[in-house]
Amino acid sequence: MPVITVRGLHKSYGDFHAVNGIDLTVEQGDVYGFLGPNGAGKSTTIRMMLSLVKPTSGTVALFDKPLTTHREEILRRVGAIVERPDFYNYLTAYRNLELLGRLSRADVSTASIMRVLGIVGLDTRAHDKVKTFSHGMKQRLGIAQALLHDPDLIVLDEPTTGLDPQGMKDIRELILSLSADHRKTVFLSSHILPEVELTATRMIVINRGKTIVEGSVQDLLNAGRLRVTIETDRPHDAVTALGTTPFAGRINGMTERALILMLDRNEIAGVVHHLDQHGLAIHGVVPVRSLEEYFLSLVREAS
Amino acid sequence: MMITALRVELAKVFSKWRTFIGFIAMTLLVPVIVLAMSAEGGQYFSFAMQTLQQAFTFTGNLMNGYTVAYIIFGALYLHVPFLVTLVAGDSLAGEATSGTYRLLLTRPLTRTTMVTSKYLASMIYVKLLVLWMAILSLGLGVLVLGTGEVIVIRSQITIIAQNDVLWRFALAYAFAMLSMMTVASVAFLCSSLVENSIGPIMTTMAIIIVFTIISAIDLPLFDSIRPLLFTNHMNGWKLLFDDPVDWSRVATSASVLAGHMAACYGAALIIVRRKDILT
Amino acid sequence: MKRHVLAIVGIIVLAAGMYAQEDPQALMHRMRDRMLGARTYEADMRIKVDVPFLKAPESRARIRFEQPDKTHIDAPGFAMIPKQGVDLSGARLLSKPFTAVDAGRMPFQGTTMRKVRIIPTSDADDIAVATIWVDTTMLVPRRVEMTTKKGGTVIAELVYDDTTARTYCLPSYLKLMVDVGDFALPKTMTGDFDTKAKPGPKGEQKATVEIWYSGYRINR
Repeated sequence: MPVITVRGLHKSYGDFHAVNGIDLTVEQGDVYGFLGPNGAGKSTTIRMMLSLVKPTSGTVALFDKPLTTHREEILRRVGAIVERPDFYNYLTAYRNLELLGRLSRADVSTASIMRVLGIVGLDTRAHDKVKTFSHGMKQRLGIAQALLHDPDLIVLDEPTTGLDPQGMKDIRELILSLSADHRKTVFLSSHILPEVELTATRMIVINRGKTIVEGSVQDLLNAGRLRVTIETDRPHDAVTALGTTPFAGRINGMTERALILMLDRNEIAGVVHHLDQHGLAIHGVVPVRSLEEYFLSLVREAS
Repeated sequence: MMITALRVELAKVFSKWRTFIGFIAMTLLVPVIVLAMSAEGGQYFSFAMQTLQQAFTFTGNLMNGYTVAYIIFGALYLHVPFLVTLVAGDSLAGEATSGTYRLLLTRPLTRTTMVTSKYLASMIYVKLLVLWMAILSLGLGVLVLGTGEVIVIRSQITIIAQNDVLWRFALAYAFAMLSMMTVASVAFLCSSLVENSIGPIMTTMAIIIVFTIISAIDLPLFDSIRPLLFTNHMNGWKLLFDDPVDWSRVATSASVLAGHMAACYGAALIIVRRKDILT
Repeated sequence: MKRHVLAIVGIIVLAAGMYAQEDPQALMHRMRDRMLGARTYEADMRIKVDVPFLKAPESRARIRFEQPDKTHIDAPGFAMIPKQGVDLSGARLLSKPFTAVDAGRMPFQGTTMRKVRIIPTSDADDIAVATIWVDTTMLVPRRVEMTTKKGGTVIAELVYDDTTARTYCLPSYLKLMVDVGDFALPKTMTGDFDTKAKPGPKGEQKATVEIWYSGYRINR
């Protein structure tokens, strides 16, 4: 059963089309990456998915139920951070979670609240007022409030912004655990592409309110050009050897012991053979596709 | 869910220091007025009753707790609206300012429940504030000055028998609650329109001032609109200290105020239900 | 014999005529003597006040009087006691030197009263002139109009239902009409901005005070 189904979603403000026909499907257990440059319509789409904004047209269904007619029932199973995490600064972290948890019909016992605070590393600051929290701490608290009522779908909008590397790692592992161990579905929007690459199973890239690509992360990254690292003791000679070939323009970088080229998957064998013909010893070939490169290329093409 | 939402809203309201400004102000002001009237209230009456004192001797405890409570009622009535707008004006706009609309409205509660719980929380605050004023005025007044007849000095003097007083105060305070809830409703409506708390507070006070001026200026041009202005009916509590009480006027004023409350609540509800949450 | 009968009839007729036209001074003195018969008295008062700009509830008090002029009024709570006229002994008016002048006969409340004008001759008295309507059959004052030297007027109408009290000219009901000044306070003091001024007479106005007396204890 799909957890999120969005069809033909539009949102216009006068003549400005913030979202211009987005379709996406998120299956149970997915960690779904939601990517796009600034102003692409990500926030507006997320807000429409959570009923904060009314679509101009299109449908949103969560847990196979239309959002317009089953809103309360649906939101009972959803935990979300939308943009920056804002709280009632005059209340403590504990009190914020307690009050918000009551509205989500969560277990607001001390044990339950302290558990989620412990997950995000804020258990020692439970009784401090939120106004004393740093941005990173508020971010953690935001994740805690999203998890408190044990939702089936967790929507995270920029969850690692402001976190230190250890914090990012903790959140990444949490997301993976939620998906793998608890069969939660995670809808993840982030600008930190390596994080998405490490956690997401499926993803969509939008720009100017429209879908550019959607699909499995691995399938998308494996399509098109790869970043191929060819390990050799004489990378300069390798450059010379490729100088007369069309691959000269694909050279992307060089280290002491490797040459890096942007190649289609079916071109790798030909390049290796050409270098071998020129007497160069090839110790290894590592084709890698980074999400960041893929994303930038997509956005560039779409523009 | 409404009860839960209301409890959450009340917890939030009574966690903010600004909520207690009104209570603190009352707690400081009322004893000062009671003590001042205790010390010099006789002069006030001598000046007001000098015409009658030439022909009559008055016995009894004229400067008593009931009379002082009446005086305090009239004095504070002008200022309580400001205290009321501090909370009601922040009710919805405060969520927008702090960015917590997103937190609230991604919970499984309807916007109607959210708006209604906030409205009710504001009304409960108003009732508690007026009740505190009543307890302080009457309680402290009677404790310091004892009981007696209420001397109501307006365009004429009405002296209300001691055993005819308490029910009037009870209804007058109830009417005052209705009046202040109307002010809170106006502030609540303004709060639904903007995204900062100061705007609704200033706007509501401006509305009250303008309407009060229109009510006070005796021009035929304003005669037709005056009955519709809620400020024209806020002083309806004074009718309860007339002898006999003009119940039809009391009912009319109460109905106008209740109508304003319903209209403001309804309008705020429609606005919030239809708005996109972009903060 | 016939001559004796005529003389007796003539004396009787003369005496009757003399009584009917009793000297007003003597009449007042006789009435005063009745009043002075009450050396002390106490009574409960129920007071109702009607003033154009005032609404007040009925009040209750108890009056104690002791000759010659000690009047004490106790009220458990609120009461509005008129300063003039509540002391009903009348002895105050009639105990000082005065000149009584006959002012004819006037019908009053279905009875013909003897109207006597009292002119105090003492400069210390604040009353300039008084007019008393006397019920000569009961020898009680039924209406009194007093004009003070300051120009104010007090009018009293009296009823005597208590036969014992009546013998001392102590009434069971008194209606007083006294002058009160105009009442006008600034709206900044009354806070009464939303009430339009009612049209009506300005200046000095009349207040009416009704007092019911009961439970007399006389000379005890």
